[in-house]
Amino acid sequence: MRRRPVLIALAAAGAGTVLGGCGTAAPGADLPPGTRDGGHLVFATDREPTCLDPHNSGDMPQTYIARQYLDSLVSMKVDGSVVPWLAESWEISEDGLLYDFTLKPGVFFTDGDPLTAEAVVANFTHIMDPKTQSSTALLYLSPYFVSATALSELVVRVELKRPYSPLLQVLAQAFFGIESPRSMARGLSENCEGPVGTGPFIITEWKRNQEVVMVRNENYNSAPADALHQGPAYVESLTWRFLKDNTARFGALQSGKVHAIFNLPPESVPAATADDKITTDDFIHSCIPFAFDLNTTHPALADIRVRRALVHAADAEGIVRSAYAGVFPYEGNAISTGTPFYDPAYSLPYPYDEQTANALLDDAGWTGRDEEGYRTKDGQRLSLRLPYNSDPGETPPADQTILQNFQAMQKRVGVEIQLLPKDSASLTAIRRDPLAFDIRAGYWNSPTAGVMYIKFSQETYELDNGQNVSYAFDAELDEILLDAAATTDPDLQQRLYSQAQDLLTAQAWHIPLYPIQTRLAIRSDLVSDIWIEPSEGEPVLHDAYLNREGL
Amino acid sequence: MTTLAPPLPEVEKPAAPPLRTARSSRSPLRHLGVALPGAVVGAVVLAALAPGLLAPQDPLEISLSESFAPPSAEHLFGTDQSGRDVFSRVIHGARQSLLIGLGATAIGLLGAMVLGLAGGLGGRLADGAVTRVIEILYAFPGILLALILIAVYGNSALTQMVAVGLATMPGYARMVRSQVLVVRRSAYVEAARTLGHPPARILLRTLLPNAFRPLTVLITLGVGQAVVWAAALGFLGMGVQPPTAEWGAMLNAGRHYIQQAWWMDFFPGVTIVLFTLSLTVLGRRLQQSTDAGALR
Amino acid sequence: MNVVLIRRILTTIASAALLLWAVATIVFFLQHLVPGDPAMAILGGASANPPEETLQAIRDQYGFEDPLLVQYGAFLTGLVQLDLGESYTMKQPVTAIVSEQILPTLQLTGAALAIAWALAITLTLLTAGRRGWLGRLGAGIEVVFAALPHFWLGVVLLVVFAVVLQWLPVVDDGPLGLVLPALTLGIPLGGFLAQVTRDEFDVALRQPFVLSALSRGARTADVRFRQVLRHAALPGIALSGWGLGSLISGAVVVEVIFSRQGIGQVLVAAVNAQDLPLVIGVTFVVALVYVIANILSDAASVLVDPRLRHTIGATS
Repeated sequence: MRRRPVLIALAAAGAGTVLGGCGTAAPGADLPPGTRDGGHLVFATDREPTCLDPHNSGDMPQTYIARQYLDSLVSMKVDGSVVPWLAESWEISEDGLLYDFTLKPGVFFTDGDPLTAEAVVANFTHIMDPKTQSSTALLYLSPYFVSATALSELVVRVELKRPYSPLLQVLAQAFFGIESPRSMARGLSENCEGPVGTGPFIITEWKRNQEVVMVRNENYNSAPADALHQGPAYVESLTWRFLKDNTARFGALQSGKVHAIFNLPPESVPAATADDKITTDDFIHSCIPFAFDLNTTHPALADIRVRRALVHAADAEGIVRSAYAGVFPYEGNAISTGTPFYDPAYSLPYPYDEQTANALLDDAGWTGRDEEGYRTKDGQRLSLRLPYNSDPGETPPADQTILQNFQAMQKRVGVEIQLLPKDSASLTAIRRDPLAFDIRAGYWNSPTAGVMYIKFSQETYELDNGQNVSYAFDAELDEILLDAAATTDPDLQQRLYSQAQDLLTAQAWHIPLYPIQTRLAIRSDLVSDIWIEPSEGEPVLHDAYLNREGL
Repeated sequence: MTTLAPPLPEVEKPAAPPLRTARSSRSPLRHLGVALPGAVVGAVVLAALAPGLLAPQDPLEISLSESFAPPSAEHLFGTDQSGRDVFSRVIHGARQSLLIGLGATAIGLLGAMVLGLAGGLGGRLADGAVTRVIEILYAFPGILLALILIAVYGNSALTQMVAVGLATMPGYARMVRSQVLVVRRSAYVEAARTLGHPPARILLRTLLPNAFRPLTVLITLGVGQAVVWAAALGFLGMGVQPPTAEWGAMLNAGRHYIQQAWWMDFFPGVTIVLFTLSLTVLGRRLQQSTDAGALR
Repeated sequence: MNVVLIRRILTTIASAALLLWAVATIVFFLQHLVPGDPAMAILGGASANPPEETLQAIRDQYGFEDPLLVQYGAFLTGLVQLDLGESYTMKQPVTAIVSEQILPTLQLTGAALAIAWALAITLTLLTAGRRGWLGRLGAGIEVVFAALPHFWLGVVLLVVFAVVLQWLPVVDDGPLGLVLPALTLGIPLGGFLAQVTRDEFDVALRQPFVLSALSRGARTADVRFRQVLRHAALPGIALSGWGLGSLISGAVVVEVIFSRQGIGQVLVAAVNAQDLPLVIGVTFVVALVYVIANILSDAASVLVDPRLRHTIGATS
């Protein structure tokens, strides 16, 4: 669920863009025609996770890869409905507080242990354990979770302290992938290197900064109900390569060195469209869009007039259009169009309006001007610090452009934005210290509109783990969102979530920019049936097969 | 970054005759050969001193509706991804680049003088120590030392300047040292000594000017090199940060859009090449005339 | 005679060791000037939220709170055993990373050096010592080549040959992918070497042995190639060790442009992430390569010019 770019400190992205790998021969060329079975699939992505166990931390790249070796309890479909996966069936109590999951029988982890109710319980315990250092899965559960218990060999009961209607969608994410208890017991650092699940692939090696190598799980019998086929994956082995540099990644696809890439760079879209061997697949995440979060502990940003002035002055729509060359849509609402219960009424809440911005700032008392033309109040310049990751892998060129455009737009109304490039370690420290920054950029992916609660609630504020970036909450908003989570009545949910969007828009705690997308580019002449699942936009490679004659 | 580095001399230079086919130099072509690079360097210096005179627009002013505009009468070098005028940015970038180039050269020279004089005048022990220091500095080739300093002190124009200065220092130091050694044993100094001039006067009046004369050439070449190194750091995203106009940083930003907006990279690049090339040509000319002068 | 040789070799090794020790010491102390908490650099991740106790455990594990001299001692002890510590971000021994990444860089620099020499020799043979436009053209080409910055030349070559003409791949880890990066690195160095060899060539052409060879009836081309070039190449060869160093520095930029695997790429990422053990490791290894290359180029000079056999040990 989580953010990527700007502020984000991926220390481990380490030494970048290494074009790893060896094999140059067209993979699968020597395989018999007429079968989908076999071959070696190479998938390239931009960012490398710091840990392959998605229970730890909670960064998007972890889910994308974890989907290939971990199964979840349930699977989510594009319409938001949920279908069986490791859980064959489930029952929800009347009051919505008890969930009884019945597991598929005869499923084994790839270390040989059977999938049991106890094993699932161990997973919940692992996620909730502070030692696991979860910053995403934990946030989904902690407001609601009471316990998980094994009722029998194959039945798990999850007990909640208050109703949580999106729970099933939440559990569909790879962040909640089920791991072998033996694997988790090895401790965080070892488990990070190669967690063991029941999934279609098995990790054999993680060459840092280069690739993760996986082989097919020959005994795979637990594909989700919405998979294109049951049984083991078609391809025999899988290389998950990290090509941080945009040009390199797209170049590798063009030359056929890789079969598909994650995150087609916006600047390469024209070239991809022109190439008839390449097809693209876009998916708009359910999320809080990539946005500037305004830290309300700063006295100026505590003033709602200043926050609204910043939004009016930003021309967020123009900023996004210029930086993403029209490839990414602008999103002004607190949540993206891909999010359930999205209300289009708030899609363009604060149109670009320099006059209104100036009037609001005057009104807020920032009437003085210093020699450089910036506004002042009591001799203090209206100056805001915006730290961002200087590593181009973490802050891609288009996001850099967004930062610069934002700075230039705010200058027009006399607000100084200090762009502060930082290394990853400094950013990790800044994230924990509200006094160390005034604005941060980031996003939060989540399959439910409940993500608004995760990001803007008193509960997250008090957890003090840097996820409530605005350091702001509102009792009314909290109540609305908890009520929405408590009901399963879609009409009521829509009404409540619309109210929440209204409130968040009015508060202007953040300046939304664009929705996060999973953007795949695929060599459709070489490979078929790669699809994107909708809970986190994870690419699914279990059904993928290499094209060869006779099919 | 370029290999235009100065460490060659050691080999046997100081008095090598100017090969460049003596002085058939009165042809108009020769004049053009000085005037053209002179004009380029002059323009860059002017741009650095008074960018407002040449730049039609504010280098930081964005225009979101005009991004990626190709070169035209209105935008001579086109616009970048934020609709900023590339021509104005190249003009304004001259100050940053030149400042860092000159600052780095000054730092490099200052350090080199201290090292070179200590080595050339200080006796065997000091000379041995200086030779070692120079060797150690050499063991961090090119921008390597600069990268370490940036890893330690972070990105800034000052780090960039010091880092490039340190990187150029060993080349200069070697030159100064050998030059001091040559001049020290030369007839001038012998003569001054036999005339009974005090050592301080010999040092200031005779030794220093003679030892540093060949350096003027190196400085001309060195500034160009320092500018290129600074731009290389900017290109790696380790110098002045955007949106500040700096040639290397502009090249870095333009690299990502090279397929759709070649002008973002082409013009800053050509400017750097023309500028360093001009300095090289001028430096070589200067070298020929000083060599010729020294022979008389 | 042999005693002299052995002593010379020993002196060379000793001074190389001294040099490497100095380099290591400098980078070690530079590393400890860094503000900020290295434990954060180790544990920080995109969504990391390390609790204080974990941070403290890391500080204890790495000995960040030991006295500086103790840490220096541990560092030197490790160094002697070729242990350069563990990368903060890649969680692997630095030695392993560097030894894996140095190969592609050496391939690249080796190819570039070959291109540079081929260029220098061709330019010299064709145009050096000639009057008129040919000589001037050659000299002009060299000056322009030498002035081309890698970062610009690389981008231009990439756009022209990979993007527009599509003759060569944009990225490729095979031999085809080596062409453009090696040209990018080799052309400026070639220009520079050519300037040096041309100067020497011109001087050599005026030497008496040329005249005597010609008067003995030797063919001009033969004399140019066999004797003059041999003479002219000397300073260039002596500079090749330095040239290799400059190529490694240039490889940093070239590897970034062409997204090539290698030590330069690693270095840039390590600097970005403030992964200091890796920065130090790479620096140290580059210094090592530089020292070795210089010893080799000295040896090569001796091979080409036997006169040097008696002096080289003394000058370096």
